[in-house]
Amino acid sequence: MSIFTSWVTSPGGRRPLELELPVAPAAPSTSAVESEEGLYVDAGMEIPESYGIDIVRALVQDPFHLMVYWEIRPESYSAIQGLFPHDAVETFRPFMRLTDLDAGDEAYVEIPLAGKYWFSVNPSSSFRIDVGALSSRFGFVPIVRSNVVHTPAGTVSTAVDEDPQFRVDTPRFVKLLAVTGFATDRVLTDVARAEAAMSAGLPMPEFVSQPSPALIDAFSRLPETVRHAAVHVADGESLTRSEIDQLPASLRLMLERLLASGEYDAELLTAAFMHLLPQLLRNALDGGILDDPAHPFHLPPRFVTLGSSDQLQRPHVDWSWMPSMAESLTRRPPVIAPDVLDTVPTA
Amino acid sequence: MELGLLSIVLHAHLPFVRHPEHPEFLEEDWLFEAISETYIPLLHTFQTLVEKGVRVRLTMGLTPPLCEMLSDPLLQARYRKHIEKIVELTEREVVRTRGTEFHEAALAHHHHFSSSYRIYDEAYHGDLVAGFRGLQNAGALEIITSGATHGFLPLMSRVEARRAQVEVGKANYVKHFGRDPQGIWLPECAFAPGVDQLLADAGIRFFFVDAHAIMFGSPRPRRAIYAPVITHSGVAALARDVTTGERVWSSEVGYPGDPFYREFYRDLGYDLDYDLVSPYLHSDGVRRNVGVKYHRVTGKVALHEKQPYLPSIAAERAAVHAGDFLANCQKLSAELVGTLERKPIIVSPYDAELYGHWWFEGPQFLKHLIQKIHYDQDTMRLATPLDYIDEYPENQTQTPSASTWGAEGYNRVWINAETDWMYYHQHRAEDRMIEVARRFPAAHGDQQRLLNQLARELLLAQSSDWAFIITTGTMVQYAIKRFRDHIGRFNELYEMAAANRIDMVKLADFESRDNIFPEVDYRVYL
Repeated sequence: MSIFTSWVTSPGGRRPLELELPVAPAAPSTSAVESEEGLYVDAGMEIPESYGIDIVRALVQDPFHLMVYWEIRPESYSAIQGLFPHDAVETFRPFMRLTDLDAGDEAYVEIPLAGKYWFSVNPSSSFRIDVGALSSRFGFVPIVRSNVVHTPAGTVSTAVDEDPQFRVDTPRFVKLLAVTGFATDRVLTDVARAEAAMSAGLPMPEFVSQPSPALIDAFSRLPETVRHAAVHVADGESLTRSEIDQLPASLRLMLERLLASGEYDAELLTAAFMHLLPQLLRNALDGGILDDPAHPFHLPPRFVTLGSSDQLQRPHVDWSWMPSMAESLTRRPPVIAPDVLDTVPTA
Repeated sequence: MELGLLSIVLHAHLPFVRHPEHPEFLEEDWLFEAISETYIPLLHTFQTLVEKGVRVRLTMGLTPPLCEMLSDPLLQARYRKHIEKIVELTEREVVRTRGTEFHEAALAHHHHFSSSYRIYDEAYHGDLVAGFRGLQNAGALEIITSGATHGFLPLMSRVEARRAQVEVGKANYVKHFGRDPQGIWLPECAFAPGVDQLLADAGIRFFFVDAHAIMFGSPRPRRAIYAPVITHSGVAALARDVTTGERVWSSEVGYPGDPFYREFYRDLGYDLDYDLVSPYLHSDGVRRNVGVKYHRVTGKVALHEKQPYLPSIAAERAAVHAGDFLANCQKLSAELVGTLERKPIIVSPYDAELYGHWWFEGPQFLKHLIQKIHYDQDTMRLATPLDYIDEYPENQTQTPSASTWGAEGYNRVWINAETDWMYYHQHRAEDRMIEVARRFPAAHGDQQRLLNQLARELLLAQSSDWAFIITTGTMVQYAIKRFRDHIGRFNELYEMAAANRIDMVKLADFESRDNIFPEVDYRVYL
């Protein structure tokens, strides 16, 4: 067996490669378990399933995703209920609240007393999570609060240096983006061209890169307006104002942040669009169902299919508050439908 | 006329793998292979060039776990045993392949391994860290440190835990290199605003990030990635140049994919008759790579269609590629110098193990590149980040974007659906470490030993390698075992500390297994 890491197929540092390497036999072990292959492997020491504390922490994965883990002691949860009238106890259910500290938006997710969860969020924002109890009568009562996390912008900054010595005007910055490989993306443009050719029944064009069928397939599941814009860019053009206006709301809003910062520069907006496109493809690659209103675009695909949150039930939550690709910016409180757990009718 | 500076950065790192409890251990081969194929060839290349009077000026990161392993007597003894067996195998292969199309490759491998062993033994007496230290003292290398165990700083829960990674890494550097580190390789280039303050507090002057850290940083960078930016804490951040780096990194369009270079995935461990190769396998007798390879890349063909490797032709290709790389740097510098209104610094960082281990001819490529820069031209100069800052002390202040050099540019390689279970345990250990350090700020004797071991177990659990291996899916079981073992040992030690009842036999056992950082002081968590 060789050194565990591998060198990469595209620019980037340590990038996982799908390589068929020989499987290493396990070392002798004092805590051996039998693997599926019948080999005995050392699974390591026992570690606890929980630590018996009240805690919630959030971690950033990328500009669009947060991971949250939490644990609430049953006695802490019961204590909260004890603060309210006896007949109200059964109206409470454990919930988690995600707050976008910049926009002031909130989302609620019904949860078990311990677990982990993936949120799909917007770039360049700050978030905090509270875990507590939610009652249709009394609202949300937090038990424990997380750290505040910040998602990176995922594209160029809107800020220009105030010091004239280091101020860079937009045309020069666009030129620097091109030199550094940030104006466009060879793989993404080839994917867009391949998918456009396939859907039009045309022969495949000559490619600089070798776009993978999985990426082409993911691209085909992006919203029509995104695909149209990407193909236009792949042809060497800049995004037009009308193309930007037709993009899904969240993507358009991100680009409009750049617009708001100063002069309109089509090349800069085109570059920013290409910076954000991989995240859209990532969602599609992970199995997101983009056009299905039952599965809003921002809902992490891993939540819909497999992954860390598969231990959870689908949350009873209204996601439509969230500024997403498909939804409005209107903030709404969570709506909890009355069910058998509710002994008191919803107010 | 000089047009630009080229800053080559080699990041050498392996996780701490040392298993005294077993007579041999598969994952220890990671170190042994890297010693023979990367560390000795690089040392020898740089040393030879320096002795010839060629100007060598590179930045090299040697992480604390690697320095600890290279200096460990048990692992040094095991390496000697390992290399002696390979030298013996290649001796036999020279005889066996006589008259065949593989003979030149067999001779080259025998020469390579026997020379490596001789250099290890005679030139450095088994102490490769001393070799690198000598090159730093000679001005050929600027050696930088890293997080103590290559811990992924932005995913740690507490600032004390991040600081401990930086401070323990620095202390280990001082132990091995006899001076303070000027620069650091942030593990996985993982940066988040705030990390830079910890570096400033440790007296570190520069670190490296991926290109989008600066291109997406705020405010917009005046000189893109071709000048450092200075963070608000006063530490310089330098970003790698993707366009030139791709020529080396990429197996698709990069040099290592040349048809004449040695093919990594076709190995004698699988090709040779079992009876002939079995004495050189581990005692379990399972076929695996032995590091002897007789085929070349050939092209995009199946492994059984690979053609014989001819080292003499491959060496010529390395020289051609060095010339091409230099020409690309010259062209880029000529394009940029006007726009930037000063010379660019082109930062080219690589995993050191790419050179030699994955790309067998990589050290030859570096040798040719350094020689060409020295002898054949005057437009590019090899430089370290501090050379640039000495020449251009005024640089833009910026907050770089949170980023890493992993796939997709952020944290996905280290936190995803396969690895997210790890963080609660790691964070709980961080909380508990800080708690007991505060509770016993002046421990001594056995209690001090216990708390120092507690710190070692936490640091080892934090290594970014475990999550990386799980995500890549290659040696998953081992990574899970290691993480669980360190968390498990931490928890047992924590219970002892909390109850103030020390099981000395168990403590001694953990100390002998995880003996990294004998100098560690748990008070770093205060």
